[in-house]
Amino acid sequence: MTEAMKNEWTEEALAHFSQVIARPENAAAHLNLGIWLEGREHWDQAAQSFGRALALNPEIEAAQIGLGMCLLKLDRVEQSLEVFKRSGGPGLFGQAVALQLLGRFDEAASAYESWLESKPNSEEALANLIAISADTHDLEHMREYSQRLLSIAPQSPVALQGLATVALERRDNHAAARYCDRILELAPDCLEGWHNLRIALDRIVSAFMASKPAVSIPGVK
Amino acid sequence: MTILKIPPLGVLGPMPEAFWGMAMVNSEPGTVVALPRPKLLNPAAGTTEEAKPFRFAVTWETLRASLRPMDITDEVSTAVVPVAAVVGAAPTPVVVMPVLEPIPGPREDEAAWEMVVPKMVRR
Repeated sequence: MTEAMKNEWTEEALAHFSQVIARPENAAAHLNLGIWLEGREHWDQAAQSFGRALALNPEIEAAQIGLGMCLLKLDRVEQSLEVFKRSGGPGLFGQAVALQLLGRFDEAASAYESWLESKPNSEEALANLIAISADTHDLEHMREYSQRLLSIAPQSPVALQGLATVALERRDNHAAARYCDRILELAPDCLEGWHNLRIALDRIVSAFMASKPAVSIPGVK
Repeated sequence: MTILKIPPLGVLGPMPEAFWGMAMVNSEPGTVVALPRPKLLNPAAGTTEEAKPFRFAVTWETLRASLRPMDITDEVSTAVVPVAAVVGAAPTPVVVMPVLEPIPGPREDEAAWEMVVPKMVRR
């Protein structure tokens, strides 16, 4: 952190804290401090600020969402689910995330589907549904969600990884190699991509060789 | 399509039997020597290695868009200062002394003293 960044950070912190000190009963001041703390990954303190904002005004949606997010980060997932249930709008997405982290995959998938009804282009909901499909080994849903995500975001690594997984599982090795190749174009450091490309190519070569009769070469035993 | 680009060493794994059978080096003029072939674990079935599962992380960045700061209104709340505190902090009465104007004329320390003898007044 440079000196200038430190100064900027200090000034911002002072501005937010002084607002709270000057207006201890102002919910917006606590909310804004919570947002600032959350952005700097001070989850516990941010949760307290959001909690104070909600104690003063339980209707502030941003404070509910912020508190739920902090609780997710603090691994208090059950509590975050309760908070998200009380909030409308984006709270539905938060519920889906909490349910997914709790391993309640069916309920999580239903919540994501409900979310997608109002936000059909939600890439993150589709990506999380692909993750659920991976956890439940549901190849058909993984293919469906991956194709849907790819139609929205043609460069989505998650969609390509989903399709590569399905292709590898179904021994569609040419498709798997193509998807792995695209994954590596986007993310050259993806070790799974390199490994799975090798697996797919190896299978292709082996299948090719198995289909050909042995060739005798003169002079070579 | 860039599948044919050359991957790093070892990525392609075992090469086909025919590749090794036909690969030759000229150790002596007029003779050919086959390169030693690597062993495939199971040549008929291809590789026995399993695919590595991709890591699909759960994310919730969507929620961050909801975290919008609010304008802080300058509401003065009565709840800020408890009533008891107000009572306790009642101001002490202060006696304000009027500021008197200075009397015009020579000050006492500057005055010249003069003995005045009272006169008898005959009636």
